[in-house]
Amino acid sequence: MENNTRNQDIKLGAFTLIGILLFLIALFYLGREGNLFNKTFTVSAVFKNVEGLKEGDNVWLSGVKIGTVKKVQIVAEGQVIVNLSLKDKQNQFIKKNANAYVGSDGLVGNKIVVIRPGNVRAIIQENDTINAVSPTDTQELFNIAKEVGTNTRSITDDLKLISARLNKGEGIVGELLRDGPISKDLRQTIASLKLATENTARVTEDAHTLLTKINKGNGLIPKLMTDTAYVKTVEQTLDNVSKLSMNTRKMSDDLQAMVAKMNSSENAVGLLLTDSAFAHQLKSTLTHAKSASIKLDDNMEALQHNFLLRGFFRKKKKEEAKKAKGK
Amino acid sequence: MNNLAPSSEVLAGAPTKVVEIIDLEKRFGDRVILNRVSLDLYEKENLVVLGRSGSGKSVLIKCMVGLLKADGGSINVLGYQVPLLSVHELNELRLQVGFSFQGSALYDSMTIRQNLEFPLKRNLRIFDQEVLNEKVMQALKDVGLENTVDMNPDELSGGMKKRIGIARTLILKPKIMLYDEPTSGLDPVTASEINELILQVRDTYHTASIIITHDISCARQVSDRMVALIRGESKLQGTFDELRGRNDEDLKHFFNY
Amino acid sequence: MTIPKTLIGIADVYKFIVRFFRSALVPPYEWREIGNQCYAQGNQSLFLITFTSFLAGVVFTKQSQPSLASFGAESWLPSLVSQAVVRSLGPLITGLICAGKLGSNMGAELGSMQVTEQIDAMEVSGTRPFSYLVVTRIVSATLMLPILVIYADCVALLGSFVMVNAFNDSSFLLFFNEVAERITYLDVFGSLIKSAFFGLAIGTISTYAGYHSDKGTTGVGKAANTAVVISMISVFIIDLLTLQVLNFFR
Repeated sequence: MENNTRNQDIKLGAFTLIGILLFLIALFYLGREGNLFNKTFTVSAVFKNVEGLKEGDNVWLSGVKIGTVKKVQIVAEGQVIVNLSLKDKQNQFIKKNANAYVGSDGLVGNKIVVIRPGNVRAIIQENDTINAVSPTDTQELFNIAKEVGTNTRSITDDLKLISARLNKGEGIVGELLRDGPISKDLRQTIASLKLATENTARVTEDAHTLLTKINKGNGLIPKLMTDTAYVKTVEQTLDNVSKLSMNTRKMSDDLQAMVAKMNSSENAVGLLLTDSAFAHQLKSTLTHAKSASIKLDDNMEALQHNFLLRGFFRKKKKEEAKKAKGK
Repeated sequence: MNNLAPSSEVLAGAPTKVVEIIDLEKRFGDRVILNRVSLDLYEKENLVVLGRSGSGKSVLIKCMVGLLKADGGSINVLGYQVPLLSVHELNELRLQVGFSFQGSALYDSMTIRQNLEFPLKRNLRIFDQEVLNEKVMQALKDVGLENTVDMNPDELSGGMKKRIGIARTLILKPKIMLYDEPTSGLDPVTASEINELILQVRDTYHTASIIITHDISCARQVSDRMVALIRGESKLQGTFDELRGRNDEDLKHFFNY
Repeated sequence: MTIPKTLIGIADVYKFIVRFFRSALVPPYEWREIGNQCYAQGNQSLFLITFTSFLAGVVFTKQSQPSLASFGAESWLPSLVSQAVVRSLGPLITGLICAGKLGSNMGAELGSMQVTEQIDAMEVSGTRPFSYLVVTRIVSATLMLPILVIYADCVALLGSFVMVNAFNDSSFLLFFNEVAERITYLDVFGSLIKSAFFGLAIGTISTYAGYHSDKGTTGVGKAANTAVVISMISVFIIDLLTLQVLNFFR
């Protein structure tokens, strides 16, 4: 009797335990959004860099969650294979030439895999590999677009103001310098631009004086007359300077064209944001201007430090000092 | 409900058998506690079950009220086959069997009054306060402790607790009383008073009683008949003097205290 | 602890639970004693819950404020706190406090009654101790926990308001509106049902531990200890499981 109840109790205990376990398993499988009852299919993609994508992250197609990341594994240097477990019913929307990239959703920036469905007729099959767009490329693109977008917006506002004044016929450079709220980037560029122009003018003048003096023959350095190599250097320098002046003018023209374009369009901001070609142009213009002015400054510096011309500049400085004293 | 029929053992003239235990067996795991124990109890009789601690005396009476489940044999109490009873029938039986616990087992979260009212309210479903008061006072008077009615159990001495415990079982007017070590932990004088009470209960309530004890003076004082329980087996039935006269090896140390 | 012994233990618990439901659902019902137990249990844990949930509200708000402020989302503080409190913090604090307070109480009380044969005494006088001692305690814990959770939620939110008010002087009405806007019925009912399960688990575990305690004084200590420890663990497990279930509805 005792043994009998004991055996019964053991059986009852075992059944209870199994029941509890089954209940828990069922609960957790159901918790995974019904994956237990929905068939899934698996596709994979090979990325260069997954930027912290991990197992269990979501897979989106056209902004709809269609599955999860099943496995992330490095297979070779710079090659990460990502297995995606997708809901079975969704595969008809994904074509053979679909591609995937790693993006992020929301404020906190959880990583997700975004599938672009592709456009050929053949639909994707189980265990296919889809093309991966490396997230570094896309993410950088996004970042650049964003940056350009924000920069452009602030610049545009400023430029609008400027263009309004321009229409009134005021001088562009003076206006730009006088006006406060111009975006830093642009202002710096313009400032450098002005400096460059001034410098260019001065150097040209200086060089001209020098040459005249030499040609007149009352120069302090007779040696110069005979040394053709030196003359060549000076000529080259002057050449550079004139080239830079040209650049500078071109930049001004570009800016002017830009402003004109903005004035002609009703919604300048929208245009700038959507027309990436224009945005690109704007960016390249700014870069151009910047690099040009930097180059110019470098040249000026080089010119001033040229040991042959050093004396000339020093003398000029003294003369100026004297003049100042005389006054 | 055929169990409700009175025992078929009734014979004209002979005393009525109220308890009949045949070949009772009880094991805890592999340990045999009761090995084929048989005993009878007749009306208005005090039966002392004598045995050493751990000889399974308490287990025997706990099996009789269904607190423990027997592993074999039959227990017939007032016509009820105890191991086969439903919960409902068991409750009916327990109304007629009083059980006095070794530690008296008063409900220490209640006053004495509440202790005594508890079985009345919950078993007999009496809620009339006058009837309750009357019954409580009567039971307390029977054990001589009317003045303790509004005290808490922890204010009472061991002997008083024993009496209250007995009063709490008497309040249900049982036909059979089971005493588990009624004198354990008491000084000889108090123990003797308890023994007197046991005899008095038999006379006023006309109960048949089984008294479990290892105390030979208690056995001598209250017993009409005795059974010795030795190593899980019942042997040597008879009166106190008969048992003493047997000079049995196992009983020697009881009598030569 | 061998495997058969463990299985027998599980079977015991299973039988205990079945017996509880049978006794609880079949008359006679123990309304009066359930009422007594409800009062006793609420009374026992009220002060502790007031204290802990108020502090939890204060601390949670104070700690969330800097990180929200760094997003510039300080105005979300009431709604964040309200969600945290109603969904998780309130039920969890109440569950743990009750597991400690009520669990040890039930375990020790029933344990000592078992050890001193009081339960046996009730049993032999036919007074159905299981219904009287076990069912009433489990039922009242199941009823009281949700009520205590509502109370704890209110106190925690009050603590949170005090803290929000310390950061920037906002009116109670604004705070209340922010809180009310964020809390859904699902949140509230979810947490109430969850806490009812906490109560059921705490009651069942603690009364089981007490009712089946070993003989002797160590048995009482062990029963109280088991009651508290297993109750606390079960609170966390139930928290997790109800989260799983609630996710179906979200």
